[in-house]
Amino acid sequence: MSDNDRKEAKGGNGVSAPPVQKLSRKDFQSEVDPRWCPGCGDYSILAQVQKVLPELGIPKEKFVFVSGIGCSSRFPYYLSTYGFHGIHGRAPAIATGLKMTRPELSVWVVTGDGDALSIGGNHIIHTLRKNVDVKVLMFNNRIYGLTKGQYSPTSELGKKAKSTPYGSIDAPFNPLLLALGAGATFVARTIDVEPLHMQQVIQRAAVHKGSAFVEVFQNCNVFNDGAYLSITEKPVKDEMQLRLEHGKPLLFAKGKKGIRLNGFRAQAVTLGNGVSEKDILVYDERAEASLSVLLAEMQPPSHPMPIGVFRAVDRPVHHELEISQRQAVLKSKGQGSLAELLGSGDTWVVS
Amino acid sequence: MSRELVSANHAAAMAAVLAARANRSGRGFGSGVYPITPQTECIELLCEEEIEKGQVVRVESEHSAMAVCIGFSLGGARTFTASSSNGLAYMAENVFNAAFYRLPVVMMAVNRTLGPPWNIWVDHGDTLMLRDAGWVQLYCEDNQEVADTILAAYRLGEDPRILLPVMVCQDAFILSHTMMLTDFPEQPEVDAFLPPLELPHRLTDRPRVVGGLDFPRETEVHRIQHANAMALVPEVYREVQATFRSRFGRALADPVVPYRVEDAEMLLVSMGTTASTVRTVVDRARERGIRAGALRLRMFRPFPEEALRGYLAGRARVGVLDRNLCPGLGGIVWAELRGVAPPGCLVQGYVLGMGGGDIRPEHVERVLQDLTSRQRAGEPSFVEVGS
Ligand code: SF4
Repeated sequence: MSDNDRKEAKGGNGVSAPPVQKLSRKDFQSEVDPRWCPGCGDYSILAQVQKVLPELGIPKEKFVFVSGIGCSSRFPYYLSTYGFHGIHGRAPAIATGLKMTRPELSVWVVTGDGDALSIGGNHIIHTLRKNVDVKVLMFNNRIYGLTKGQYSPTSELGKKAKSTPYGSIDAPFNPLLLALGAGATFVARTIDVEPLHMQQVIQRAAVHKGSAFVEVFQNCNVFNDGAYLSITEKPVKDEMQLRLEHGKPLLFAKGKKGIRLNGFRAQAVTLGNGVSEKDILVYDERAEASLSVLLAEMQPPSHPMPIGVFRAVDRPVHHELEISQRQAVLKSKGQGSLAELLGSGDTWVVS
Repeated sequence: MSRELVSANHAAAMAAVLAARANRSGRGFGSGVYPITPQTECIELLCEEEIEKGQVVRVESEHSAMAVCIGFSLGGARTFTASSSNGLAYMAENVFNAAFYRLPVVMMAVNRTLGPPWNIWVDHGDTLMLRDAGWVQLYCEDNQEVADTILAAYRLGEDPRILLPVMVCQDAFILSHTMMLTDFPEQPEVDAFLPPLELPHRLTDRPRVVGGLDFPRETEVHRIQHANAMALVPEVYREVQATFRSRFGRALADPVVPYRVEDAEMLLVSMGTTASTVRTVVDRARERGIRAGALRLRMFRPFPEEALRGYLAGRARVGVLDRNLCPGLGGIVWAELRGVAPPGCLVQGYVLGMGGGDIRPEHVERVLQDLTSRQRAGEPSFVEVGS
C-alpha cells in the first residue's frame, strides 16, 4: 500500500470508526441459513458474535472474518460482513496480509482446535508473536468434526475416536498455554453455553489493540458430545468454573472457595478454618505472564476451570511497527534512488 | 481368497494392511495419517487394524503424513498413506522429497477437486498437479483394481531396479464411497508376492547424510538415474503383472487398457471411471456402424508412450476426455497425448466433468459426434455437463 493509504489508517485499535447508523444483530445475519448439526455449539458462538458486532460502532463492511477449514470455518458464510473461507490452517497468515494492507479494517480469524493447532500451528504462533492486530476465535470441540470424528490435538489422553480406536497416546495441547508462550497480548477463554460471558469476552477481544486469542469451549454434540459437561452442568458449574475478574480475588463456588498461592502452585482452598479472603490471590490480567500461565494450567478435577480474560497487556502492534520503521528509515536516509542503491556497497568495475 | 463387499477406500486400506503384514518378517510397517474427505475412511481402517511390527502416527497435516512416511521408509519399513485434493497440494513438497530420496512409499490418492471454492467431488487435477513429482501414477476404474493396484504398487516400487514411490489414484465418491464385491488374497499369498523390503539406502550401521547439498553435476546424475528408473517401469510392470497372475490367479490391468480397438477408426481416451461410460457409448456407436474404440489410460507416469503409439498407429481421429483443466493449456491428458499421436491423426481435446459433474453417456455422445464431424483439431472444447 502507498504511504498515502497508510495515512488514512487511524489509531485506536487500528480501526477507523466514523459515525455510523446504529446497527443491530439482524444487520450481521447473512442470507445463508447456518448449516451446522442441530444442537452444535457453533450456533451460540455465531449468535453472540452477531450481538457484539453492532455494539462496536464499526460499519459492517469494515469487518473481515477469515476462516480456515473445519466446521468452525463455515462461520463467514453466516455473517453479512466480508469473509474469506481460506485454506486449512492458513487463516492467520491470510489475515496478517490483509491487516497489513488495510489496517483500518477489523480483521477476525475463525478457526478450530484442528485448524489452528494441527495443520495451522505454525501460523497461529507467529501471528501472536508478532502481535498482528487480528482477533482469533478458536472453537475448541476437542475433535475433528468436519471429517467426522477423529481425535484432535486437544483431545484428552486415552480419547477413543475414529482415528484412535484404542485411545489416544498423545498429550493434548493446552491452547492458552500455547498462546501465552507465543507472547499473545490478549488471551481469554469462554464457553458456548455461557452466552453473556462469551459476549463480554468477545467485546474485550474486539477492542484489544493487538492479537487477541479467544478459546471457546464448544460442544460437538455429534462426535464429542458432553466434552464440557463436567464444568457446564448446572449442579456443578459453580464449583467447576472460576470466573477471572481483573482486580478481584479468585473466588468460586459462590465465594466459598478460592485460589491461593502456595509456593509456585495455585491451590484450590475452602474458605474458613483459618483461610480467609485475604489469603486468596487477587487476579491481575496485566501482571507477569507467569500468573496467567499458572491459571491456564489449572484443570479439573484438582481445580476449577478458569474462564475469562487470562491476560491483556499492551505491546506495539505489527503494522504500526512496520509503518514507523519505514518512516524512521525515510527520515534518516531520505527517499531512496534505485541508481544510487545499485551503485552503492560492494561494487566494483570490470575492466 | 476372501470376497468382501467394500468401498474403494476400505479396499485400499485392506490391501495396504496385507502389504504391511507381509513385511513383518522384515523391518515392519509405518504410516503417517491425516484425514481429508473423501479418503478418511481409508486411514480410519488403517488405524483400527492391529499390524504386527506396524505403527501408525496420527500427524497434524498432510505435509507431516508424507514426512513420517519418509522417516519410516528411510528406517527400512514399508510405508503407506492416503490423501486427496488440497491435502496433496499441501503435501507436495514432501511428495517430491519421497521421490528424490527414491523411497518406495505407496500412497492412495482420492481424486477430488482442488479448492477454493471448496468442492469435494471428483476431478483429476489434484494428482495431475503432481505429475512431475517423480512418482509412478496409476489410475483405477473400480474397487477391485484399487485393491490389486495397491498390492502391485509395492512390488513395483520396491523392485531394486525401480525404487520409486507409487500413487494409486481413484475417483472421489464414485469409487471411494461405493461398495463393490472385491477379492482379497490370503496373507500367505501376499507374503509370497511381496518379499520383505530391502531398501539399499536405508539407515544401517554406516552413518551418512541423506539429502545433502548437490552441485549441478550431482543433480544431473540423480535426475538421469531417476529418469532411467522411470523408463524401466513398463518392463518391470509387465513382470509384476505376470507374478500377480501366477500368485493370485487373476489379471492385473495393463498400463493402457484397450476396448474394441481392433478395427477402430477413432478412439476415445479417458482415465478413471469415465472409461466405463465411454465403453457404453462405444458399444452404442458400434451398433450404428461407427467404428469407434476406447483407451483407458491407467498409467500416467511414466507416460506409457510405447503402448500408446502402438494403439494410436493408423487411427484417423482421437478424442481425449479430460476430467481436469490446466488453464492456458487445456486438458492435461490431451496435451501429453498429442505428442505420441502419429502424423495426420486428428487429436481433439474435450474437458468435461470438472468439479465432479456427472459424466453421462449423452455427454460422451456429444464428444463422439464432434469428433466424427470435425475437419481438423482445434482448441480444447468444454463439454458442459452441469451438476
Ligand atoms: S460435526 Fe460437531 S462441530 Fe461440526 S457441525 Fe456437527 S456438531 Fe458442530
